[in-house]
Amino acid sequence: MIIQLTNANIYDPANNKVGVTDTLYIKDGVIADKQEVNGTVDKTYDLKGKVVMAGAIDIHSHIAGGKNNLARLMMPELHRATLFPAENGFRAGSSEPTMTSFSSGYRYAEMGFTAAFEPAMMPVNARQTHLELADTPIIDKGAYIMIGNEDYFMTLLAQKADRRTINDYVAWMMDATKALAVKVVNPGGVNAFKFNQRSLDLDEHNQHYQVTPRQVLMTLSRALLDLGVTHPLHVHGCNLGVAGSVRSTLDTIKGAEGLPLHITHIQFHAYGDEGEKGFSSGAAEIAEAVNSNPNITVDVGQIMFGQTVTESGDVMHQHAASKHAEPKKWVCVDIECQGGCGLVPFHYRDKDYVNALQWAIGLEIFLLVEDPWRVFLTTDHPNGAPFTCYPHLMRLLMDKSYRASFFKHLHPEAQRMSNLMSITREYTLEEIAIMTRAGPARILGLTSQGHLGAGAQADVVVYTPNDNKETMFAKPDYVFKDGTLVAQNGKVVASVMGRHCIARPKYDRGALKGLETWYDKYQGMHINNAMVKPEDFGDYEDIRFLEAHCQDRHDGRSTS
Amino acid sequence: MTTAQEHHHVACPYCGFGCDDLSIGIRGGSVDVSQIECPKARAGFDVDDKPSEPRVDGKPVSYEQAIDVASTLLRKAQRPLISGLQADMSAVKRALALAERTGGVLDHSKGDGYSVQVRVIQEKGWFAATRSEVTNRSDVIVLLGTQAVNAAPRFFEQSAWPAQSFLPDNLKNRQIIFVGDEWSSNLGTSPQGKKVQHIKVAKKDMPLAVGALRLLWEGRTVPETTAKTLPLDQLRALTDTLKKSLYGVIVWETAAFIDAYGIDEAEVLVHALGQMTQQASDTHRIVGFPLGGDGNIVGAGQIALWQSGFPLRIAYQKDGRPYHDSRAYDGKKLLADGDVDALLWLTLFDAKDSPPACKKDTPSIVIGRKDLEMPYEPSVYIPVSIPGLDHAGVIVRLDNVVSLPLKALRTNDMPTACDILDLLTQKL
Repeated sequence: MIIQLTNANIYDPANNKVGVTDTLYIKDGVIADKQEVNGTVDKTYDLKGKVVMAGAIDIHSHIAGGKNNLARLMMPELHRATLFPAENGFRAGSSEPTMTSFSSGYRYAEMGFTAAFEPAMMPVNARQTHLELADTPIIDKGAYIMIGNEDYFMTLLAQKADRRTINDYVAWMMDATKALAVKVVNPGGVNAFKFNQRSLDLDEHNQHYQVTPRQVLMTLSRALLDLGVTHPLHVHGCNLGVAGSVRSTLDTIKGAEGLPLHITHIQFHAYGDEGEKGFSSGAAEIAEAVNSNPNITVDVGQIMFGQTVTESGDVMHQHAASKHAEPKKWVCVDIECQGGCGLVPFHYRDKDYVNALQWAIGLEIFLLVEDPWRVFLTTDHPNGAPFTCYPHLMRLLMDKSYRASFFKHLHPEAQRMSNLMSITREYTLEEIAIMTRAGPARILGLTSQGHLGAGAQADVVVYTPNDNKETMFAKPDYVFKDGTLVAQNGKVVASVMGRHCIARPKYDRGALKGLETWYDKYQGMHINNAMVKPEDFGDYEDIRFLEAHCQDRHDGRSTS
Repeated sequence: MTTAQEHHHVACPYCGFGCDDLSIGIRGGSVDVSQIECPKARAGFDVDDKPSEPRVDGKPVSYEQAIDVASTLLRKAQRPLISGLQADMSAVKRALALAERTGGVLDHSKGDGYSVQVRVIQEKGWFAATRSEVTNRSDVIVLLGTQAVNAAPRFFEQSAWPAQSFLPDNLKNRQIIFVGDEWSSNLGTSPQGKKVQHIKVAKKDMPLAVGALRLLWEGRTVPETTAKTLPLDQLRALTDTLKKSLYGVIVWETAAFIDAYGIDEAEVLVHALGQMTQQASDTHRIVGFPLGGDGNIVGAGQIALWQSGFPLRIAYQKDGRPYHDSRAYDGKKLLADGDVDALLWLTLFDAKDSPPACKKDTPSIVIGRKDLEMPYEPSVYIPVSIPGLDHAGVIVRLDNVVSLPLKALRTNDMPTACDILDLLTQKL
């Protein structure tokens, strides 16, 4: 099957092709060079006047897993308001904010997103998460394994385990759970909360293990570097949502000592405690620190006004935030000596001082971080807002007068405390293509995604340019996934199944005796049953794995 | 007597507690059940691998014929009930798709207890913990009106008195306190001889005791009329014990509350316990650990949540839109009242999970184990192989997060529930 897209105005920053008009060839689901195409062209699309980009990639979106289901369970009122029927072979379901798995796949595809990654998979929840991802159609997907609070890991640190032992453990964890990357949430703090500690700053000690968050961060970050995993440690730092959190976030950045870190939903960790209300924007300092530390990447976690449910592995701070639950209900769970989760419904309001400032802080960070390769578009779906508001968010970034029209409705005190209106930057199409395509693919090691060069997956999005960028990005003319036309004019037209993206650093299975003993003695589960294996799913699940780029391990461990 | 095959670290789907440490010997296609100590596991694994025949109106037919008749019955139905749902994840996915496709009602045979917990979470929530947290961390376990072993036969051996914990002091100092009516004296005694403490509260007074515990936690006075019927000093001492605990766990069994007090009172109780865990968590680490989760109801609920956005008890409209109401869409009641016009009963784990009674003219399709106890001859019966014995699959444990891989321990030529549901769906 050969498809040609002629007169395409291509935005493909990964291949230094920006605003170039050319013909794109798709051969059997893959982007092909002209000289490779020697058969009959089956279908031609004349894209004169259209903008063409690779499929977009969401680097951080809670689309699957147990806590997502708890969020759904807790808020039937939201789902009742967003029912949609089964039509044309597409499954029925319900939508924002904690939408169904099918809905996630369809809505992403309709917006031109062809990959999204669940960033907080509990080790014990991995098998279930993959079963849910197997019901998330069209897009490629994957998950980051959430470690750094397990009693086993804390014990390793407390006992000053050697570097290779820790590296073997991290690599095993990724393989056992079929993860693409590693995330840490409130490093060591979720564990400390189980010993009834209510906060844990970067250099404070977990009272039981005498381990600090900084140790956890540095250990895991170095492990990933040693193992050759492309995505740096995905960090949900200390002090989520806490006024004054900017200090520990800045300390984290400075303390990284050049080690790569990806700091996620940094908006929630960028709060000062100045002003009458003791809550202020730390965006400028954060952006300055990101700009001057090339080892740091961030995603923002923009909030939007409205009702949502926040879900997080950070039980400590979700529990603290439960005082602000709206409606007044919440669930927290301590999970299997590995971590936990907390679900707290929130209603963000533009007339609320704190919420208004959160909104402004997110945009300030987007606009003040200079390098679009190092800042990614997220709302921490559904925690800040559902991912379906991305087109609106893109317009806010690309159109300063549009920004102003919203800003003037914010709580007046929040307006006074924000410098957003002094920032004139407007994102360009190229910058959007970098931050939503080329950048995420590069930082995740997904070499066949995020670009339109020969050999790339034919995940291609075609837009009609429009001054109203929300309209432009909400309803692409065409979306191709692996060469199949899956959405047209913002509506899904075909469903295909994407891949489960994983990374497989090498490890020495023989060096995991300690872990095996731990599982035997304490975990209530045998180590082999803790590993997700394709055969677990029988013959009835459509699960195909795609391996992200991994370098050779370089800590001297010989691995089989 | 030779054992042909020995499997170790086998996960067991026969209660929600989800042990995975069974050793199972297969001899001539049958399980050597003499090795299995847990009564639920022994009963579940005790089934041979001989093929069985499908039936239509009690007469043996081929699988094709049975599927033909079943699909006709489903096609004619305006509102079928698809329930039982005691199946592995892949089979549940298919049953759910079928319910969406046919405008059916979806429930599970253990839906009552589940629906109570769903409502409590939708109303207020709770602070809970999973099994290995209880096993390792707890220093106080309060069993509220449950002896635990009916729901989880190995609760004491596995979680209450494990051989070791990585927090050895918490285990060494662990106290287990039963609040309730009768306690058989040696039940739950630790290998070292530590006994379960018993605070005797008459069955009828349990709701009062839960209320009193909440008041005592808050430091408020228990009304005199209530106090008279309760062992207040002991409940006060229990509150002090919890306040001194490092990690306290409150264990209950929602289904047992329903049996004892009816569904409404059970809901009030679970609600109160949920709130107690929330309130206590302001200053302490006190968590809830509800027992239950039989027949992979938790896993079935998870699929319902990610596919429809709602927990179980869903009525799909003709266009597939899911309407959820945990009271209204009680499958057994709808069936008894004639508010559904066909039954598809899918059940692969508990051989006693019989299809519920239906009206005389309501057609019934049963996809189940070949040793399923059948109180009446269904219109169509399709025997299938068993996950965790004949084929691989996945279930989710009682604590909502942990999934277990079920292994194929022997080969069996019978079709799987997935095969049958796929064929049935194709015919619709």
